[in-house]
Formats: sequence, C-alpha cells, structure tokens
Amino acid sequence: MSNIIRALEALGRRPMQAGHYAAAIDSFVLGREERKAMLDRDHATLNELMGGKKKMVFAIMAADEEA
Amino acid sequence: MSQQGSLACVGLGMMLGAHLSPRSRSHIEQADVVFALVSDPLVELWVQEMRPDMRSLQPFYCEGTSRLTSYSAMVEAMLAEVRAGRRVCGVFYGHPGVFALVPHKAVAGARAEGFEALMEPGISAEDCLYADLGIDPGKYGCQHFEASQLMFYQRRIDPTAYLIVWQVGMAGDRSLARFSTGPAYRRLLVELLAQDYPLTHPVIAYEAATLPITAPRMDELRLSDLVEADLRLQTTLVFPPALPMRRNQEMLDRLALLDREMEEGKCNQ
Repeated sequence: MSNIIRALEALGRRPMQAGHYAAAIDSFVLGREERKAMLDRDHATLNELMGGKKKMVFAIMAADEEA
Repeated sequence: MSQQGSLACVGLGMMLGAHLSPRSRSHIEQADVVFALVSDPLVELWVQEMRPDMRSLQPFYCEGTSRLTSYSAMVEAMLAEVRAGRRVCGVFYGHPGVFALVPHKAVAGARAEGFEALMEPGISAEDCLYADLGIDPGKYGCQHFEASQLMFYQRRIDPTAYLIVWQVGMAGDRSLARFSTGPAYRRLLVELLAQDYPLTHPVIAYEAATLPITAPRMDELRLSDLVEADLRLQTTLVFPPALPMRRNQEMLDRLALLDREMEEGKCNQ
C-alpha cells in the first residue's frame, strides 16, 4: 500500500485532536513532498503525487428516468 | 463445476478509511470481480490498494451522452460478470441505495435473472450532513429532492420542514448529458424556490469531507446568492424551515374526542 494511502486510512480510522495532527503525520513514513502536502491538508497535491484522476464524475441518479 | 454468480453492491461511506463497514470490506476482499464508482480520486486509489484488479466505472461517463446510457452500460458490465458465474462486488461511495440508480438497477436486474444479489448500506452524504450541521430530520420533518426533478415536476414544498436539494450543480439539465449547468439554470431554480422562501432565506451549501484531513464545506448563503454561488456536483443545499409548524387543531380535537370515547368504553378496540 502506498505511504499516502496508508497514512490517510490510518487517520480515517483514528480520530484525533487538531493539536496532535503534526505528530501523527510524523509517525508515518512519508517523503518530503508527501509530508508537506499532508501537513498542509492539500488534497490536490496529494492527488497529483499519487497520480489520481484529475476529474471524477459520480452522479448516479437521474432526475427523470424517462428522459 | 461452474459457480453461481452473485452480486453485492456495497457502500464505502464518504470518508476514506473512516466509514467502511466490516461486511462491505469483506465483500470487496472476497469478490472475484470488483467495480467501483467513487467521488474522490484518492478514495478510488484506496479501493485499488484493497483490490489492485478493481475496475473503475468512471470510463462509462461521457459528456454529451445521456447518463441513462452510461448507467445502463455500468449495470450491464456488472451483470455480464454475474452471468459468467463470478462473485461481483459493486463499490459505491456513500450509501449504494441513496440517490443511486445504478446499484438499485443492478441488484434488481441480477435478482430478475435468478442470481443472488444484495446491498450493503454505507454512511451517506445525508448521514454526514446531519452530523456536521447538527440537524435532526425528525425535529421538523425533512424533504429531499433531486434539484432537476424538483424543477421538472410540480412538487409541494413544505416550508415548515427542512428542505434538502441534491445534485444542484446540474440543476435543470434536461439532457442528462452535462456534468454541470450554470447561473441561468440556477436562476430558474431560485425563482421556483422563492415561491416558498424569501430571497433572504438562509441556505447552507454542504459538501461532506471525503478525506480525514479535510473539513466538510458548510457555507452559509442566502437564497438569492445561489445564482452566482460556486455549486458543484457534490454540493447539497440545506434550507432550514422558513415558517413555524402550525398545529392541526381539527385533528387534535378529533383525537381528544377519540380519547374520551376510549375512556368511556364506547370504542370496541
């Protein structure tokens, strides 16, 4: 599992107080850019570092099924 | 001996790592084939970490083509694997049965062809909304409408209850082929809503957090602001009640009469 995804998954499982965030980030094995993006809570840069899709479409409801 | 195919449509919840139930994770891990449709690219990569062979449903979308066509193709892709005897898992962000045509159609289609099919609930944007905004839908009642459907059909809005409007970024798209509309379309939506709410009525533009490192969007606007506001595919509008609830005195009187009759033993029940 990639370091960023592993860190995000761990943070998702374990709620923490805001004051403990930087220490939590330091507990993960992350590169310099990854660590900075995590500390900045920079979604776009994290996605870029991971090579994620630039655009997601996720509407799965149609207003009018008979359209 | 060929295996009987099956389908499980599971909810991933909204936030990476935070909301996935053990049952849904088990379906993802044990399926022969996993399809996924999620709202965040990092969440999709998370699913891919769980299942490197995961098949994204993103390529089925094509701007300019009716989403109904895309939805049918998504359903067919999943059912084709079920028919081939595989255990198929469809992974959907949030709750797979809330504002979600594809999982419902896939489960119904599989069952209609005699296959085992089920849906595992997930934590939806609606669930997150109640927690983040501190709203209890039971307090005054709560109405949910898809934005375009609210515009296309004559609906009765109750301004004494909460109103929640979904997919507002695509409000008014009759073609079902666009991923966003714009201010001119939203102006018509505002006109419609202004029949029940003053233009100064507060509205919250809400977006659930999809990563544990980000916060939900909870922007307080006025109804008139919606025309020019930054409203995206994932934005949901929350309208607090505009009027107090009015007591139904006629019904209360009838209930009081019934209570008296019950006490006097005049009622057979």
